[in-house]
Amino acid sequence: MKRVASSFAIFTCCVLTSVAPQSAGAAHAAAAPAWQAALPGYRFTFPVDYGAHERFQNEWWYYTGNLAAANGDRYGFELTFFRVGIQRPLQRGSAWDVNDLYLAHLAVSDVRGRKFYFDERTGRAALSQAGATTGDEHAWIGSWRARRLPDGRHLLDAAGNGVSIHLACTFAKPAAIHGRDGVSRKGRCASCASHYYSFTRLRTTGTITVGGSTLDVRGLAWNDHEWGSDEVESGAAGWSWFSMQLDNGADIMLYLLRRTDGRIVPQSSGTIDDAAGRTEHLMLDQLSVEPQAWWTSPHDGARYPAGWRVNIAGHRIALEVEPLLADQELITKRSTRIAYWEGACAVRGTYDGKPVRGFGYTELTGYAAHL
Amino acid sequence: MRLTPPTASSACATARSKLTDEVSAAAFPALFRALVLRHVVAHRARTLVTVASVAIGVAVSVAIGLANASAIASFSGSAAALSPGTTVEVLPLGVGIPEKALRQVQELPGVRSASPVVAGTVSDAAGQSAYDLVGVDLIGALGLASSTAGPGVPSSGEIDADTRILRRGEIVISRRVAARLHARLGTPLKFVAGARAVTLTVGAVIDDAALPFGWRSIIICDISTAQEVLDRIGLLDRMDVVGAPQADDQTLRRELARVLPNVRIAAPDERARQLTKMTQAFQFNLAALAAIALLVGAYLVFNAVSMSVVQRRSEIGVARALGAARSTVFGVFLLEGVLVGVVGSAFGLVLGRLLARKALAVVSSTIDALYTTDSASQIAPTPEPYIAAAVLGVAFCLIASLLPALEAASVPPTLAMRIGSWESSQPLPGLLLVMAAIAAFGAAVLLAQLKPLDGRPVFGYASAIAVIAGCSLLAAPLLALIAKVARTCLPATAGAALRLVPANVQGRVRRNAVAIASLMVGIAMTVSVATLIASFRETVNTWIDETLRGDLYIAPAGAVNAADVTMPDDVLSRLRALPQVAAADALRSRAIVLRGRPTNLAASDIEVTSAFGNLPLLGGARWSNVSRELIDQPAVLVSEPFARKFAMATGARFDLQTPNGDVRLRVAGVYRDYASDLGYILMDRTRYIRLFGDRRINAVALYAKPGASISALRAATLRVFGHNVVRLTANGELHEEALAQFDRTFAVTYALNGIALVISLLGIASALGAVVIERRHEIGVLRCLGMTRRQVATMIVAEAALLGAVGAALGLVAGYALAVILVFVINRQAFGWTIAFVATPLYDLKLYLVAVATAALAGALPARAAARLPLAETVRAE
Repeated sequence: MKRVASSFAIFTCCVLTSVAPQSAGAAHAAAAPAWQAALPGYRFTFPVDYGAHERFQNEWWYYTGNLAAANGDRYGFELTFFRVGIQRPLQRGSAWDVNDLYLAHLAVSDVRGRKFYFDERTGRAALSQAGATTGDEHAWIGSWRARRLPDGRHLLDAAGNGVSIHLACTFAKPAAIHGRDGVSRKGRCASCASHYYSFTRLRTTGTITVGGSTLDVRGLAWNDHEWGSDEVESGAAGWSWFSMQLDNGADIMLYLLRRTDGRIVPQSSGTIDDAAGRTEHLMLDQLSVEPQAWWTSPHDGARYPAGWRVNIAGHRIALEVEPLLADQELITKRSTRIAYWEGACAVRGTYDGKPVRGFGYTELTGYAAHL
Repeated sequence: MRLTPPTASSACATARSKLTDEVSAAAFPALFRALVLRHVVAHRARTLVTVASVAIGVAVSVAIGLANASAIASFSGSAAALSPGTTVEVLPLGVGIPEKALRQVQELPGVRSASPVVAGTVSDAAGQSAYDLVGVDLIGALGLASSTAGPGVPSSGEIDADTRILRRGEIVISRRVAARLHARLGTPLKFVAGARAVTLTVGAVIDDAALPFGWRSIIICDISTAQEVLDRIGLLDRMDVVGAPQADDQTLRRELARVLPNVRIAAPDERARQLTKMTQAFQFNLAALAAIALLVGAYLVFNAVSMSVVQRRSEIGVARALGAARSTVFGVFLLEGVLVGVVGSAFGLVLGRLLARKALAVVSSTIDALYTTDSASQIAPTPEPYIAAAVLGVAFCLIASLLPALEAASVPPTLAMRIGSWESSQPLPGLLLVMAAIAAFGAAVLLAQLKPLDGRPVFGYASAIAVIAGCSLLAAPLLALIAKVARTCLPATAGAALRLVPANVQGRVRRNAVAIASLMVGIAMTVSVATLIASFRETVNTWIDETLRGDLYIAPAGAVNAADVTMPDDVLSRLRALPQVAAADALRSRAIVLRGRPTNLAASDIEVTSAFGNLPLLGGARWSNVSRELIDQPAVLVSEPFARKFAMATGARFDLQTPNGDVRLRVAGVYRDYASDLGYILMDRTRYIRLFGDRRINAVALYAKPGASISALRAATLRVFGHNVVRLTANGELHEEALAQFDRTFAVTYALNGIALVISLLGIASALGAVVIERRHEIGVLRCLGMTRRQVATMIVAEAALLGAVGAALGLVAGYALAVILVFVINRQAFGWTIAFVATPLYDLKLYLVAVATAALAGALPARAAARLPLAETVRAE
């Protein structure tokens, strides 16, 4: 699953009511049913599904990864593009009229330097200021871009706030489709679902610029692409999302949606993608995730879990997930306008009873402010 | 005023002064108390007038200085803050930059970011005030602002967590603008843009402090709204480009020029610099007038310190005899002048700050009307105007007291013991003074020939000061001459009191000369500025009569000042079809930059302009020849200020940048124009449209058929446009409006002029009053010799009136000389106008009578007091 979806809810709400002509409420109500919901039975078609799905309201392309420089220094990165669709009657006139809004986040974690950098961009799908193509993946805002080439490579470019990334990623496994019957459920309601696939293992090389020096880096990245409309169950307070890339070749994705009363939404789930690329859907009752430590943000006072014990009994998987850097909190004042924690983690433990190590990324939302 | 020390006992005095230097240094405070403070306290009223005159002069300088500085600060503030970090601005040559070019620019390697701007003017529904509407990409700019970490455009966070700004037709305004528009969040506001009514809703109201300076008085909206409201679909009015860190300015400009060959690439502060340049002549002239007000004050200080030296001649003598050094005496009187300067300046600074708001309102309204839409409304917190005015105030007082202090220092101890010898017995160096005056006048003539310095008529003002200096030097010899003539010519029947007058005047010629010189300066300034304004007004009036031949003028509502408010030209055919209309001339005018200097480009339908209009052509050119050339050839007319500023005459050729490349144009003729001191290039509208692709118009001049009713024409026109979106002005109304505009422009000048007159009248009153008071002893003697009180009073009033008459007459002469300099040198250098000299004899006569009457009145009050003095006391010394 992913992510920052609720933040969309907020932002979309603002934008929708705001861009809707005169009688905002009525227009919103009228516009909402026009969005297509993510429904079971969906058949993924690639490369078309790598591209944008304009009939769905929300869509995002997420890249995270754990990289190492030649000297062994570790760096985490995140580059995300969000598309928020806005439906309203288009008027004659300005090409700047807002239809799709784009938001993007860039984060780099310098593990040895114990520094976390992030930046954000916003743009509209007008005059090529921002956009995403259909047919294959190419999302951009200004000079930030994520693009999939016909040869299967993904190119990532973004720079801001003192860091930049220029990375090329090649898939080691084919795309893994999450959920069942083409949908990943996010709650009880029928529309509470998204279409969601991941490239769980992308061999990545390129350069990263941190603190004025540009370094050659290599490592593994993870790509999520998810789209839907109105997908998060109302009453959700936030969620925790985990990606883990293990040295035995297996990759694991888990997400736990929390309700405001603290209970986990039963539709929370996960996926195991083994070394051979076989995927298995995990239901909530097949897994457990226990926080082991807590971290309080000096920026906004939010208290985040900081270290977990993950058990998937059916596979004899017992893993400890630990942040590589305590402070990997993004306070996005201008785009999604929420604070969330998304950071590089180290993973160790046993898989099928055998010791494994690896790296991963964790996303925590709803801890800073009530979504 | 004698500069050479008397020979008697001077050697001795020198020796003694060496011995007593230390003594006198210690005695300085005591001496200052005895010679100055006691006197100052005793003559409270006069001291007050002197200090007040300095205070007023300094106050005026401070107020004008602050107003000027604030206007300039607002120029750079508004230009700089719109997009922080902007390296260059890309501006259209024609009607706009195609928005499709934005992405191309953004992808240039040398470009870090390029922000689109759509800007224009809207007016409130009443058409009373205009507002700048600026549309930016509020969505894209959010991310941009975060990475540049500058103040940036208002981010969503600053807009109170409310993204309503994105709603179509919504605007963001500062609290200041909200207050002016009586608007709150959600208030729908009616505006007129380009002769169309639009409704914009307040989507966010932001604290002024949360906005960069330049954003506080404008209306901000998303670029999509701005394009629709301002009728700029598909076009940008500007791109603010931030260069990449590695790209230097030259590389960036080269890259931009490659992608966009026909735009203008400007430095971000260009507009501010141009506005500063455009207004500098206007501002310099205000500052100069303010300094002249201070100069009049300086004459009064000169007068006052001279007077205090004269009145304390005997005390000075005593002090010198008791061992006070020359330098001590000199220092004591210099200190008096400086003290007056310091105290007067202190009051002046406070008063100036109070006056500044008023001055700024007047200065801004003039600048708004002539040069830009929204100049300063707040006093800039700069210390320079205060420092400049205070330094000027104290320096003028120091210089003014230099001569009297020197004279005091030269009082010989022996001479001082003689009572009654107040006036120096040295003969007046009349010939020397006259020659010095002639030299000053010669200098004035020479200075008037010099070219302006950087657009400022510095030498023109120097010439004016030389005239004032020359006339001041003439005061004493002229007074002596008049007294001599009066003495011989006065009929025996005139009576004893009157017959004494010339002798009295002659006996105190230097003292009196100072008094009349200060009156002269005030009168001269008043007369000259009044003459300038009258000449200018009459010239403009005649010109308007000649040129405004249209019967009805149509402009979009809100076209109240220098704003470029336009309307589409699709109304022209409907207007021309009206039964009352003989012809309609479409007028377009916009600011451009030629050879790096701001000027205006105008277009009209030359066929109509030549047949119905009447722009006066200079140099004997004929419309019949010129109009064919304008229509058939790449030729233009230029206005007279343009011809002067760009040094181009008929036949000259120049290149004009257009969206289709540079075009070489020939100057087919020069026409007389008073609409803009920046000048005009006028071309046929068909050519203009072809070159610039701009069909918008700023106004339409309708010419009615003979016998057609203007009110019917007005009604028919309103039916074409609809109500409240255009302003219709009939010929007569426009004439009046133009003159009213003229008067508003000169409001500051009128005010400064009045202040100078008040100071100079105060001066003559205080000077003459002092003359009477110092003559109490003499009056006592005359009374002992049998003069009646009435005769004494008559004598003194007559003397005062004579002095007033001579001073004012000298003032009139000097005033006319200054007027010539103002009209033909300063005005021409600063603004480039041709003005026909028009004298204002009636005004001058009134001024003259007021001056003489004030002088007589100034004599009358102390005369009565003097006549009532107890005899014994006044003549005790005899």
